[in-house]
Amino acid sequence: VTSSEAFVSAAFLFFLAVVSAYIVIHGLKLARLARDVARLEEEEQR
Amino acid sequence: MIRAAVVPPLSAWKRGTAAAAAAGALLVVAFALTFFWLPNEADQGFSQRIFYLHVPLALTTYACFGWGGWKGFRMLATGRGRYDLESCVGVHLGTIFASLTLVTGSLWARISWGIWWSWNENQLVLFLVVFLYYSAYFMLRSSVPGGPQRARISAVYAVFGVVLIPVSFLAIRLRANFIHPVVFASHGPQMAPSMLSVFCLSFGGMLALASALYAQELAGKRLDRRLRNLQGART
Repeated sequence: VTSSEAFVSAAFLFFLAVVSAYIVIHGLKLARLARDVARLEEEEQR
Repeated sequence: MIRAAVVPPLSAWKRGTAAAAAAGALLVVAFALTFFWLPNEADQGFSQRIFYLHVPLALTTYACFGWGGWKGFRMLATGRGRYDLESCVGVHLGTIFASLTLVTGSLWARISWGIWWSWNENQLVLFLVVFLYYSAYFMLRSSVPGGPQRARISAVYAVFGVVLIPVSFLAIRLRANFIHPVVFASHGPQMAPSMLSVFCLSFGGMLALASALYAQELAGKRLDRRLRNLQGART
């Protein structure tokens, strides 16, 4: 592998890593918030 | 008076699913074509492949900041709280895409110029200025208590930043002695049709990705606001 190929691959992998991390972090946050909102709404209805 | 958001919290998330599917398909195809179909560029060789990642990222950054500014303008014009959230999410995504642009550009500069950064390049420095300007947006937001005042100040800041976008974009076209390549000149794109088509695929995928991430983050912010309202009502 040449240094050029290594740098180009690193750029694409870095992009994929950042986007994946963003999706996972926000996905987990979204799931937690949806759960909490559903719980509070259920308690409010009782 | 800031009016509350009335959009259901999960509707943005559902709308984003289509954008996510489009982004996945377009980017997979574009990246596969970049590595396995396109020939090496005559001048730069293999390293030119970063172009299909770096330039779409930079253009998407401008689009996100522009979107944040537009939503800020809508917030000032209508006073609706939903536009404050949308402006904030647009700017946040813009800073993420800008960070990726700076990192991928720096990697490309190391291969092509032998240096990680050049302070003599208007394009690089002005892009960094845009990035730092919008990074300061979050410092501003966190320094003002939540409410109508914060929404208005944030909106004004986001709108003013839009002025920097054309300056940054035109920087390399306004100066004669530059080393940063200019692919999109006034007389059209300077690349083969195959390269242009892969670039368009990648750019379309990047815009779809930004839309999907925007929908995801916005859904989270709206749920967070709703949760706070529910918690506030209980106490």
